Amino acid sequence: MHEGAKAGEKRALPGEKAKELLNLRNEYVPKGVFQVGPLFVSKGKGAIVEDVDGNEYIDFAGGIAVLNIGHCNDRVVSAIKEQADKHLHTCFHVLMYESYIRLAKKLCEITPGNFPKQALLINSGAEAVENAIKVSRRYSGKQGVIVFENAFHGRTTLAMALTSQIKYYKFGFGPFVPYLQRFPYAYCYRCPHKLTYPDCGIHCLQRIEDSFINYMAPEEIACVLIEPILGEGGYVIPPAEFLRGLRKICDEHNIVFIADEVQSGMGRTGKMWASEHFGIVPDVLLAAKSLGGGMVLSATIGRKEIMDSVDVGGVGGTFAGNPLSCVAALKTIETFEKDKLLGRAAKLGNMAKGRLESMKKEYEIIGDVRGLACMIGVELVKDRKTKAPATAETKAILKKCQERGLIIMSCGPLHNVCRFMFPLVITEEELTRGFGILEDAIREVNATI
Amino acid sequence: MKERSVKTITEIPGEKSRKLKEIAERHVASGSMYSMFPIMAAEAKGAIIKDVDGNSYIDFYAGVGVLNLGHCHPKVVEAAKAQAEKLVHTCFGSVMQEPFIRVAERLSKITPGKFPKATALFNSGSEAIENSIKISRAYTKRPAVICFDYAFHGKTLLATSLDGTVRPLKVGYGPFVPEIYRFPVAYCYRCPFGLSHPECSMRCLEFLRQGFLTTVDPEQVAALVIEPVIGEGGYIFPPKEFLPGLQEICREHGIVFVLDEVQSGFGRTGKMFACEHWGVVPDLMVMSKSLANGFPLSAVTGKKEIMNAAGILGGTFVGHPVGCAAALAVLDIFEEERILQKAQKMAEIMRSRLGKMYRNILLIGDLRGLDTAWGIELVRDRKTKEPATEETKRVLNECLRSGLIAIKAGVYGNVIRIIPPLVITEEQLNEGFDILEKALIKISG
Repeated sequence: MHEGAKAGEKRALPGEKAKELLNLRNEYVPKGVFQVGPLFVSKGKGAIVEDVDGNEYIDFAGGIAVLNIGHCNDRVVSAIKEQADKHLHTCFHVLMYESYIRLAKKLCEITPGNFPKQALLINSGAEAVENAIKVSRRYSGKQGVIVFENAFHGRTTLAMALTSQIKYYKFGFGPFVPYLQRFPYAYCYRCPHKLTYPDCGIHCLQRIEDSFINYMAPEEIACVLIEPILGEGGYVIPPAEFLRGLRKICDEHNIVFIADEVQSGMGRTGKMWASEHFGIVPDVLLAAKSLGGGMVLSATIGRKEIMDSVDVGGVGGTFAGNPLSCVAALKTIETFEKDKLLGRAAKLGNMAKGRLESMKKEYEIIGDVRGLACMIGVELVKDRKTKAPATAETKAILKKCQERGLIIMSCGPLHNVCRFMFPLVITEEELTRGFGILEDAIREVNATI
Repeated sequence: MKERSVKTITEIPGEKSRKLKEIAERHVASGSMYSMFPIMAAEAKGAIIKDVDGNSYIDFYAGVGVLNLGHCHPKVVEAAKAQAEKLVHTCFGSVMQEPFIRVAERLSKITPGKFPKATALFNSGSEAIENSIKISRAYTKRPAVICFDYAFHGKTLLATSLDGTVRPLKVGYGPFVPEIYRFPVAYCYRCPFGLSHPECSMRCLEFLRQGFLTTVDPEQVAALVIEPVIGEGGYIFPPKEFLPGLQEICREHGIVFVLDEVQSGFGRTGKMFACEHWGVVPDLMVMSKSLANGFPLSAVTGKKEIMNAAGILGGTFVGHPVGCAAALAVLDIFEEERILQKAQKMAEIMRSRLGKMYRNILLIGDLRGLDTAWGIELVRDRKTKEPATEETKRVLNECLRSGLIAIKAGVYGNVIRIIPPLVITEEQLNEGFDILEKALIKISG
């Protein structure tokens, strides 16, 4: 199958065919469309992809956490093909179809909370976020939104406004929207208040309580929007008290609690939703990325009375809940159940974390290893004391990995966190091989600091 | 005599449709269930849709402009299947794939304008609109956006802010985005100035120029965004001076001229893009709907120097390989099957059938269209032009029960849009028109 280099072997990037495509890319695609490298993938299966020059890679990025059940899962591909023969699109808002309804029902069943729920399907994570704010505002009759530092919620204007990082998610794209309040996230490795958990008494919650006096009255706040684990913002896992405290504030002031599980959901953390780890039940939960098994799909799922508060026609979209995406999502959920992928995620997560912990003992550059099952972030620093971010070094490591057949990405506001998003169907052998490539790269770069 | 395409074997809705609707009412957010049609789709091919109870319908709405090449075009289906076997997703923002590049290349070539272009791909029309504004703001370093009455640009917050219809799009979702300035559009049947074309001397263009003295500094305007044919707002076709006039105003003030061809593009009006009818060339064109003929995909194509001004553009799913494979098939089909040339015959039938209905049925207050995209505006009285909102609903309901699916548009909900797939057969088209004509006569009588 592979004509080029195997994963683990060096290859020249870009390859010959990739060079041609790269020229076309530079001719016809704007600069602003980001990539991690000059890499064109042509095939994928499980956790292995092949580029257009026939080189093999182990995929630790999973299309940015979209492929928890792997590339081209057999069940998903046959469901797509079968559906494509029947109908591709009707626009659900004009003519309904069964797969949308079945998926809505399933999502209401598999999300936390034993109360009546409803689901709304759309295309992207950004659209799910936009709709969550819409339903919260319409339901509560209030306008304010509480969001957090280092949050990422998408790239539409409202989602961008909710997102924290300026360059280059927001730079030059304003003006944004009013009625947003931003607070520090419980990022304990770099505590925004320079305190230490648990002696801090979860000071970040106190900040929010205090703000009700001098920023915005809680009677004006429609919702709190938070990623239970920060995704693009650095794979930060907050103490459970932080999320529980937020939940309590919401209960006290009748504020809708929205959990953005776009990246943390769909089994990434060994539970279907990261919220479950912290014992919190959101009023509205957002899913996307791995929801459609690789197809374009997102969902806003929430308490019936909230979801039902909007005017008919006020939410949705032409493509929203495409039938192929819906059948793919149903098969994705079925795959989790039949192949017991949550248990597998926990097992793989232990392996991965064990390996990273022992690497931390050896390489000074690893400042922090944190994670829940397979949602793991490794923060690289130039100095463990000062925690100076090893941004350039992180870039160098990722490049070395890529040249040896491992696709891996970074995240975090300082671009110094390696994140692990490998498909949960990766074999133990592939995982070990991938970590071998990574460890070589880290060792080499560690020697330079 | 040819066999009829419409087949009705149960009452409408049938039992299976009713049962599924019960589940939907429990679990689907009601805001997204605005269908007036109680049936559930099971299969579709070309211009025919079959419901779960086995009834067949003729399609006059093409998935709201998404299926200009018909349901499940075999080449589109084949291309999507073949792609799904190889590679379903990579996230172009991490690792690239060829179908994305090829779509960018082709769109840059087929859109109007002989200047270097670049293309960015997204998922929905809303996302493409949002990005066209992002790009315009980054390029001009100006904040303001000009938009128009009756516009529909989507349902994300910026798109909603640009929308020119309040109910149900904007109720309770604010506060909206600042620095948006709205002007009247050339809706000649209900002229906002009470004038008649051409004696009006294009008062609406004059009003916009005046707005630069009274409302917004043109030096602060990043973009002017308009649908060359207003879609959701009522299938409004502007007079020939309107769009060229807007283009000129944009040029005078260095404003990025953004055309939203989401609904009007990909052959809907008999040309690849509606703006070609008036010879206008946008700086940025926004496309979606029929671009991939049934797959979520959208695009912004425009002048390279403008496109390149933006920081980071993208999103996890954008330019999805399966959608791109479908889009490449769509572009091939337009060429190989000479879709636009063939559509001229269809345009003739539409013009003549609708013209006859307009002459004979008083309920039709206005008939307007371009080749293969038409709107009929229903009124209770041709003089007062009182919108026949309730009657429109009844006509469409009557059509459904007789086997034709057509949908409305317009802020009063009194415009029926007639946008069948371009691959509809003559027999199906005429059968559909027979049903529509009967329903209009029945309700108007």
